[in-house]
Parts: sequence; C-alpha cells; structure tokens
Amino acid sequence: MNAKTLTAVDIRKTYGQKEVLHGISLTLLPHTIYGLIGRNGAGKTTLMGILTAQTPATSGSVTYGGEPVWENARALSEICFSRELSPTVLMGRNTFRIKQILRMASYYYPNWDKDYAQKLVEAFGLDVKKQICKLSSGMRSMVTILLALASRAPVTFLDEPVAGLDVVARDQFYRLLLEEYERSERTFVISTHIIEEAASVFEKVLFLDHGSLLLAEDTDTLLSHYAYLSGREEDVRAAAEGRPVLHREQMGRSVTLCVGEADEALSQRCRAFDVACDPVPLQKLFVYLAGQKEA
Amino acid sequence: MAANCKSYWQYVWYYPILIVGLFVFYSFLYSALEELDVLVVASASMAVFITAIVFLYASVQVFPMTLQFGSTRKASIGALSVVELLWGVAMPLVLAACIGLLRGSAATALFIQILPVYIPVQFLAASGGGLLGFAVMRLRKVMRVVSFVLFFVLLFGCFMLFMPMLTRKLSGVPAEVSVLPVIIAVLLAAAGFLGEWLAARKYSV
Repeated sequence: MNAKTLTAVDIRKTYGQKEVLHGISLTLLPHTIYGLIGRNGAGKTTLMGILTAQTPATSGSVTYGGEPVWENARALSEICFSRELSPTVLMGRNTFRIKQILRMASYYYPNWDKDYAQKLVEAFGLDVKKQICKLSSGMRSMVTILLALASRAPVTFLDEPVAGLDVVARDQFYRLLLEEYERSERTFVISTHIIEEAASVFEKVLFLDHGSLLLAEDTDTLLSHYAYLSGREEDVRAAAEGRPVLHREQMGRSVTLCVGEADEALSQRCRAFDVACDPVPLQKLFVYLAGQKEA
Repeated sequence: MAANCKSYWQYVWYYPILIVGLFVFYSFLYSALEELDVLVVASASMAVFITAIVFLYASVQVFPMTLQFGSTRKASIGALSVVELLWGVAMPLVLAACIGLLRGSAATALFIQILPVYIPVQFLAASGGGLLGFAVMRLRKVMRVVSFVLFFVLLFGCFMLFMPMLTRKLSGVPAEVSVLPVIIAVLLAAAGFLGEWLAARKYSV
C-alpha cells in the first residue's frame, strides 16, 4: 500500500452569507487513526465532505499525494468517506438493498475485499436482501462500517460510525478497526460524539470548534499537557500557580482544578504540597476547551 | 465511467420489463378494438412517462451514491447521460419487437412510422426526468413541488401536442409536418442534458 498524505490548505466554506469553516489547514499522515471531535454544527461533516471532494469548498485546496482531490478519479479511488445511509431520499424511501450497495461499492474501490465484506456481513448478522429504509439505525451504522472497512481504501473517513450502535457493537467496531489498522497501512479519520471509549483508539485528535481547528495533536502528548489537581484549596492554588486553569470544581474545602502546561515540575510541586495530580480524560478536556472558547 | 454505468444500469434495468409488461396488458386491452394506431400511440406514451419517472428516481437515488463511492461528477453524469441515450434507443426497439410479436408486422410498420417522433420524445423524457431529479435535490421545498408539477404539465402538454401529429402520421400525413416538433423535442432534450451537467457540477452529497 502506498503512503501518501492528504493535505488541506486554508479551507473555507460558506453557505449563503454564513462562513462555516474558517481557513482550515491540516495534513493527514499515512497509517494513523485520527479522531475528529467537535460539537454539533462545528463543521465536521462539511470538512470531511470537502476533504473527500463530496462537497465543494468555497476556497482553499485539498491534495492527496500532491494531486488535487477535486474531480480526480485516481485520488478519489483511494479515499473512502463512509457516512450513514439515509432511510429516506428526497423522493421517498431509500429502496436500495444492502447487496446492491455492496455491489456498487465493489465497482468503485479498487481494493474492495469481497470475502472480508462477506465476513463482516456474517459478523454483524445483516440480511443483504433488506432495503436500507427497512434497517434499524444500528444496522445502517453497521453497513456504514462494513463499507468503510471492506473498501480497504488507504484513507478512510467515518462520520459518526457508532452513533446508532449498542455498547457491544461499538466494542466490536473498535476491535475490527484496530485489527484492520494493524494488518494494513490505512489512515482512518473518525468523527464521534462518544469520545471517552474511542479515546484510546485515536492516535491523533483534531478538535473542531465553530468551524475552526482548535487543536491537531498527538493524543498522548495532548493529554500529557493537562492535569487534574485536587486537594485543599490553598494547597491546590499554590501547586497550580502560574498554570492556566481550564476548569474548577469546589466541594466544601477541597477543590479540583484542570490545569494546562502540565510537566514534571508540576508533578513535583504537587508532591510537595500534597496535592493529587491525575490525568484528564479526553472527553473532559474537550468539554473544557470548547467551553473555554465559548466563554 | 464503467462503474457508474453499471451502477445506473443496476437501478434501471428492471423498468423495461415493467414497460413491456404494461404493453402486453395494453395489447390485450385493445385487442378487441383492433385499433392498432391507438395501441401504438398509447404504448409509446406509457413508455415515455415511465422513462421520465425512472430517470427522475435514478438521478435522485443513484447520483449521490456514486459520488459517495468516490466517483467524479463528470464520470457519474456522463454515465447517466449514456444510460439515458441507450434507454432512448433501446426502449423503442424493445417495444417494436414486442408489438411485432404480439400484433404482427402491420403493427410493427405503424410503430416504425412513429419512431422519428417517439425517439426524440423519449430522450426528452429521460433528460427531463434526470434534470427534474437535480431540481428536486437542489431546490427548496416549494420550488421542488412547483418544478415537479411544471415538468409533468410540460411533458403531458408536449405529448398532447404530438398525439394528433402522430395520428396524422399514422394516417399518411407527409413527413415534413413532423419536423418542427421533432426539432423542439431534440432541443428540449439537449437542454435537459445540459441542465443535468450544470446541476451536477457543484452538487454536494
């Protein structure tokens, strides 16, 4: 498998007078799992649509391996954007059957793995004769995941793939994703609201907020920059001195702060002041960062 | 392009069977009357209406799917046009064969007489149906309904215009009489194809 990067430079998207993406630039490296995180309406789907040439950008450029992606059949054959299939189309019900969708997918993706697709159909317990409009939300998510994994496309985008899945199916998805990631050199970009259980899967996170890319960082590095400090208020305040505070929670005389610029020096000060120093979960960090921006 | 053609064909292939089935039904319906010209014109009208609906649905359902699977807009709309043109030629031939089989060579001869009118109208229905699909996908709700109604009024009006001409043609009116409506139909069909291309250019999934 080749190792090309997907690069976006100064992407802007305007709907009418409203700009929904404000000059986003990013590079997606080969063999990496990205988590695309953002609140509803942050522009995640629009961004993914633009990166995969399904939505035209108002300005900016997207290239894959140095070639523009827009209307480029060669580049697009290596990119898969799997989004939830709608049970309705504009003129009524979506009457496509799963087997028709799978057959269509096999026409387009040069690396399409028919045997793997069949294996996934069995693993998910899907009836390929069923029409999309007759599938439950969870089953439609399974079809989305199936298409993404069996496409074997070097760069694969999944838009909210686990939204309709129960906890068992979500676990199954993350297992399959990691298996596929280990056996190939594929890049995955996954947008999700259920951050906590996916946090361990993401190697890098892209935080999108109100159409701007707030952060694009290695997950472990990002999390290492923040810490929860908790203990008696005066001790915590002393330990956290000089560090930016993202969040504060008071319970009686004890307080918990989420602080940035965490490093070894901070750990030492925490020990000196008898303050507990704990890692911040990705989901919480996202809530604080998004909240801070809003404030 | 091949992948797109297969995708569209996968969606539309069974509609000719429906048309042939309806034709057989018509054939039995009109068999007692022995009015072959009525049968021929009625079959062609029915095929035209079904064509418009088929391509309306094909553009709404298949076009976004092809883009979702990584097709370029150019390849997808090109394939849709190819399938529309193929259908425009193939459907009359299929009907001609059916008429010949069921009602004999006299009926086939009548059918062949209307082909110069029927084929352009069939193209018009295919491209118009496809274009309407794009209008439905891109326009606001009220406009969708308006364009939907307008299209069928136009198509129906167009066919009403052609009907007397077809009947005259069947009864031996010189061929020149039909030239103008044929030109109109070809121009409208061409406008339909062009409209589809323009609408597809910046379509967002």
